[in-house]
Amino acid sequence: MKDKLIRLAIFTLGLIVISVGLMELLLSLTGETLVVGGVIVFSGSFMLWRGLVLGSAGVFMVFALRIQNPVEVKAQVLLASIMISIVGGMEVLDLILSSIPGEGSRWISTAGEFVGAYGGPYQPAVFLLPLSLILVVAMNRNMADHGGETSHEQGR
Amino acid sequence: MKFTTEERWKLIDRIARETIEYGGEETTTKSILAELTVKPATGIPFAVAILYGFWSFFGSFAGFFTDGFFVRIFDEYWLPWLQGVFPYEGSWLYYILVGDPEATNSFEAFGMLTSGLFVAIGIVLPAIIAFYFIITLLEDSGYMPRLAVLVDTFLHKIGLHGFAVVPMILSLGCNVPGVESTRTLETKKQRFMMMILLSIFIPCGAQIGVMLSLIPEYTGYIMLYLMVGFFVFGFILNRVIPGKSPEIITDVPPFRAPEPQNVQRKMMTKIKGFFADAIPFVLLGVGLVNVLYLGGVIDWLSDLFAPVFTTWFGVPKETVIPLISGFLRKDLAVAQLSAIDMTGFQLITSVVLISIYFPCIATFSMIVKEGRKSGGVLRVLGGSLLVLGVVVFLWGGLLHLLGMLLGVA
Repeated sequence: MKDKLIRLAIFTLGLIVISVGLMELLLSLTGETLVVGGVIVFSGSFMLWRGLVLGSAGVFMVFALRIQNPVEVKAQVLLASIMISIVGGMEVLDLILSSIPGEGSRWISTAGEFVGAYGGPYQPAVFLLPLSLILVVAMNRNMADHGGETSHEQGR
Repeated sequence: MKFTTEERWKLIDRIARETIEYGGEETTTKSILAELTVKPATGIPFAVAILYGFWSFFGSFAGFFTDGFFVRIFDEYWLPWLQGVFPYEGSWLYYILVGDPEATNSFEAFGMLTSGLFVAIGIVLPAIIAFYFIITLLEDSGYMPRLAVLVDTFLHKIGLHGFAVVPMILSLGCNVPGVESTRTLETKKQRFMMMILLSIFIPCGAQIGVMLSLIPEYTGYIMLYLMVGFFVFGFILNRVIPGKSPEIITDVPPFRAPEPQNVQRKMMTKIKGFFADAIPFVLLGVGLVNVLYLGGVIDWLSDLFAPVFTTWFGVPKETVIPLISGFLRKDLAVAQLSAIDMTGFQLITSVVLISIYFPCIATFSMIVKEGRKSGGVLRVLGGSLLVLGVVVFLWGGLLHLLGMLLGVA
């Protein structure tokens, strides 16, 4: 039951990540900006690259479901998760670093400016980052329940 | 008895088959992950993600220090203070050390102690720290050899090998650490080729940043043209320059978490090296440019090259001035170009020319320094200038020709 749930989660998240990646690719070609619900924004200079990275990560997740060996599935999902984390993590870092320097004569932001910098909207990868990490943690726990992850193969 | 390379590898395979016994192999998430990063289908998108992360970190980190603090320190405190206390205003010494007495920011002052220090410490130092940090993480985690394996076949076409990707990546942020890291390449030929190619065809992070903010609609075309140039001239240089391009056999270690102490030690060594070696070169370079300005050499060059620019490259003669200031700061030169009245295609050509015509002062200084270890300063400089001249005329002229054929020039 838990296995099925995890596979469903991988498939669903994979599809979402592919959709986000495709949207970023499409918008990078048209040069437009899109705000969804005032919370998510598709914009910035490197949309094409973000689109490529997220699109590939989504494909890796979906295609991981075709693999039989659970260790290999986990490795491929982890690879995709690292890619999503790089894009999302860099957005978070940029948000933090840009919130610190102050305006005008102040070297450091006031508390109000600092908090205001986190008001959003955010890049979609910021939302995908925790989802992908939760998925990897769930896979780890599930694998531990099944007696660990190591499998043995005969060498060449 | 003499073997060809292929025969030698076949023999190695045969000996290995007959003499080595393989036991059971443990397959873990880590080992599969390591394998996925060298398979092209998964490894290339992952490498793109790493490069994206690398670039984003550079932008955020260097932007934080440069725009957030150093610009302000240099423009609001250091420059006015120096302009106020430095004696002999209007003299050669003042112009060389402090620069323009009317300047309101360190970008435009052009003195050794103003622009020189600002470029070296305010701009290049944060970039260097950011890049060395990421490079050290990639090296210590075991990813760098995987990236080298992934791009090895591709770079072999131009006489380089997989590890040449390190200077390439570094140069996308700043050409200075890029040129410095060419010392990791095996032969003088490879070091010379890499120095030339990256200082001509790989625009630095600051230049890309300005391009993206001022002319985003043309940046993709410009980068594409430069990348094609990188491989075309790499292919040619590989055939023209004498010397060896040996194969490398590299150990691909397992992935491991970088040790913070090792990372810190490596970073400190590299940063100390930058302070000791690179900063004096950058300052001297700025001083030299000022002497040339004061001696009228720069104005003479402007007049001399104006007809070439208008006829051969098809750009307005006003482009000569940003090109000359591009020797100090290429990003600033691109910004200056955007203020000149010209067509879109002329703008593309001008930005390409700024990228390929000559490395910036910091990179040039580093080429002089590294040239000592790559066949001698005079040889490297002479060779570089010759290649630069040919590349500028051929690649810049070809772009003009393409524009004429397309009816846009």
